[in-house]
Amino acid sequence: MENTREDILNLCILIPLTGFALLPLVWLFLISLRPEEWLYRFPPPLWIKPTLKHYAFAVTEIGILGAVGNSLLITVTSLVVNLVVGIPAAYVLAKGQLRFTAVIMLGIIATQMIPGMAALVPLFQITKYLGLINTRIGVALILAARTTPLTIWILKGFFEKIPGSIIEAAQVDGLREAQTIYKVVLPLAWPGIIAAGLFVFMMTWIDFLVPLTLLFDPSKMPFTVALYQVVGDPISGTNYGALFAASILGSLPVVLLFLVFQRYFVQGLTAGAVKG
Amino acid sequence: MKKYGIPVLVGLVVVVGLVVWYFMWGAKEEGPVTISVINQSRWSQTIEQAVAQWNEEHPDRPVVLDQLIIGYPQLRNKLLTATGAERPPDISILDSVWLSEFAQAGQLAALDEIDPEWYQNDYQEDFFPVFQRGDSFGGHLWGVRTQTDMAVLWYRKDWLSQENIAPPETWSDLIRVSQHFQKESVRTRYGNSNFPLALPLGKKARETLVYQLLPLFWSNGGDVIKDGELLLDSERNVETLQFLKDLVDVDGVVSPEATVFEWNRAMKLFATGRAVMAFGGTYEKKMIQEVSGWDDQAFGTHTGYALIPSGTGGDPSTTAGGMCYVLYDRSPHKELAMEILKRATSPPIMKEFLLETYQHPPRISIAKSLDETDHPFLAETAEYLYAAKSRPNFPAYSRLSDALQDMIELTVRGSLEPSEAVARTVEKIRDLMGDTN
Amino acid sequence: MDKARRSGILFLLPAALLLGTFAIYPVIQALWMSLTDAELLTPGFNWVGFENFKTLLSDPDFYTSLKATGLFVGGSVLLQYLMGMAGALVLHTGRMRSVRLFRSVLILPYTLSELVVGILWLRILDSEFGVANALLYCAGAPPQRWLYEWAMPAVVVVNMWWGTTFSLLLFEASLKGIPEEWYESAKVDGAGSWYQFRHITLPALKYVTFLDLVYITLFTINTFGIIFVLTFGGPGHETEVLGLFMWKQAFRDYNLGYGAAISVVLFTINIVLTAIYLKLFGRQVLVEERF
Repeated sequence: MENTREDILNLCILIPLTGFALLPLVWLFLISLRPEEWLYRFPPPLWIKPTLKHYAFAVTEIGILGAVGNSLLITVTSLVVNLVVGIPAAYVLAKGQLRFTAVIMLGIIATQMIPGMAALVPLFQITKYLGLINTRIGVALILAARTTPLTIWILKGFFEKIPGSIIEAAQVDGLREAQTIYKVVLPLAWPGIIAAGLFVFMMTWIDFLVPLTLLFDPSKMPFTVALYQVVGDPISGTNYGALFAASILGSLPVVLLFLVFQRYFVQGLTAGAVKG
Repeated sequence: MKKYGIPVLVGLVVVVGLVVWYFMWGAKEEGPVTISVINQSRWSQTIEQAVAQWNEEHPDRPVVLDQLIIGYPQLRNKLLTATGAERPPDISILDSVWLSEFAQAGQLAALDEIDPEWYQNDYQEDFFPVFQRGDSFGGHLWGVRTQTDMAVLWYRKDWLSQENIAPPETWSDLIRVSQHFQKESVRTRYGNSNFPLALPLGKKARETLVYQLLPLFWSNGGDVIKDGELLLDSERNVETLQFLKDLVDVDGVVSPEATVFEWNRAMKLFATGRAVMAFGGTYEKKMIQEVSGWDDQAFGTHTGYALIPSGTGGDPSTTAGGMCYVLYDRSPHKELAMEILKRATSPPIMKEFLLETYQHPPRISIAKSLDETDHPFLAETAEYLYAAKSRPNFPAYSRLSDALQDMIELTVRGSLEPSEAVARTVEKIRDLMGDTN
Repeated sequence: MDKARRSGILFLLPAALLLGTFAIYPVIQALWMSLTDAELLTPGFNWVGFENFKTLLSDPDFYTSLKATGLFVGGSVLLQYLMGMAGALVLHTGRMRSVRLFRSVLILPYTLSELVVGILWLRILDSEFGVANALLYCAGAPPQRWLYEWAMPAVVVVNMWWGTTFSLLLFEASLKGIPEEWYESAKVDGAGSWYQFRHITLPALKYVTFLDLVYITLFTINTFGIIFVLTFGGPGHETEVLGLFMWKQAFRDYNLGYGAAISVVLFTINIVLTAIYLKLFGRQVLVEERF
């Protein structure tokens, strides 16, 4: 009976929370399906015969599919860089044997303390110096630099939970550091890796300032920048229908990704590996 | 050495991967001369047509077009960072009020110097004087106006005539007509809201605020800067500010929410029948039709437009705005870009663009060719161009505009008295003028 | 010691390289630029020492901006932490199969870009044509001028709607890492849910809570895309947070030097806040002597 009471309590919190998250999205979806004239009726009608013309517009005029492809390229690259750079760093910091661990942790997070906008002009200069202007690689590297601190912090938290005994056992067995990471640490900490990975993916996916500033080729623009084409034209105003249709199309990959990885979230750490 | 194996291997893979990626995705394609353009979507066809025309005429010197389309809010940012990083496009669109800023910073190319023949025989002959003056600075021409639009007072012609009221021409007319439509009986007849007059009064409308309201200052005999002289410090301007404030506080015909109206909120209210009169640009015709569903004929029956009403000190007037095509000084293909620009602003291509988007011509020849029966709206409002003025031609224009926006919003909100607001703004502008000299 | 040290430094090298180039360099540049009068369009600059800072500290708009930032960040951090924690707890302990569905819905807001979120809510909160007022109308309540009278609460709520996902996912992933046995043995000892929460869950989540609070604070202070679209700092300067204030100076009025000075101030504020969090949570969140 206690179970049911708990379940009811959970639902009482969950349903309003989800409703609050969902309703604006439902509205977003509805607007993407209705022609412009209906935007200015009051009270706004709940049901209009839907039209797919905004979606068609998003695909043909904005080229949303190509833009999503660019987003994928940039985000995956950023993710890979994040993991390659972040896992070793988090491992070392989690061990806590370095004298300057505390300082390094703070230093890492200090890189996030400058507003993104302020960094734009210097970033532009250094990217130009490296010859990476107008390349998606450049964008991916910068976004990776933006998200790596978070990755390191999250992974460190998960690596720290692994008891010292397991690591020591592995080293006694003659494993080198890198192998230790690969064979022992990663399998135990993968919820953290999935979490960090998801964050990196989402944050890189929705960023638009960096690509907007560094890219000049329309064919290289990720979808967040492509969206800008229909915003705030001083003559015709914002084409809300197309904007929302395009952003729904653009968000699909992230949503799908999450649906797939949700399961790993749920599973959690293997029982029995963490004791005492 | 063995223990470094894996990290080194991983490092190598990363580096190789990066190199491969760079060459696959990062290399820019080269071809025949590429002209890069930064433009807004509605204008893009004029450049495309111009390039197509060039390629037809000169198959031996083909041009490849690389046109980046962005929305207006990001246009300025993008151009600023591009020029700041020394990567300007060959051609771009630019709001006419930003011309002197970019010109003074040395970013733009002087068009009269690149093609003097075109400048004397085509440009100087065919473009309205107001644009020639507005787009020139320091003795040179920096941009070619692609279209223009004007700030007007829109009103419901059908409702006004039904009530036997003439369209307002003075400020007191404006108040009187508005108050008439606040009467209970009238409101039930037409369904308008209790605030029959709509106009932006705050910074959320940004540049549009200045664009719409400067004519009010002009039509009362005041001004901001003229011929390098600061004229803001005048009783007339204080009067105008007081008038604006009273519209909300005393006459009660404008909603207090007007201080947070975004740029086209006033017109949206007009198009949906909430407001009887509204300040808006002539470019709003299409939006009105979209929202209301009126065809051209219905539009002509329902709506009317007039110059911005005058105060006691002047005549009705309007602002002429618009976007210009500009060339950049650092571009390696200035002459070629000029050829494209000339074609994009040539009468045939320009006329097609204007008719499609309901914009007004900056060229006298096109204005004359507008048929009253075919294009009544454009033909009628073309007259206003003769009474039009441009906003100040000033390098620090954005800061100037910001100061004016502050002046208006803070007065209407009651944070400052009108005379105080004017005095402060005069100080700010004096500083700006000192800075740029 | 030596072997561990060497591999330690090797492992940190890529991170140092990446962050040094793309993250630390801009910070140094900003610090340096704040001492000049650099402008965006015109090349060249002069050294002005602390001139920018003096102007800043005597600018009344700066103080309004500070207050707005305080309200915005305070409200956001509080709400997002609470909502995130509550949501994570519920999702974690929920036994229903539909938990997966709920979780999928709850992360959706964050998949939209700031721009779209702002524009969506601009339409919802529209005082003439928006759904929010339509709902009030149907319920017989008077329509509100959301972005005029309730500007600050509105932006805080919208920011919360968008950003809670971060805390939610972070906490849920961490909750999964707490061993079941701890709860089992507590239950055997007769501890109730609240006790379990206070004495098992919260302490176990200390590190993550610190991370979450610091991150939300940093994110919220540094981004203003939502405010930009919803109110542009208005009415007046009510919602003009420091980030927006800086943008206006740097990108609208071209004062790069002045804008850099503002970011230095922001940087300082961030450091101070982080230090406060550190004091509250104790130094162990940074380093734990392990093996």
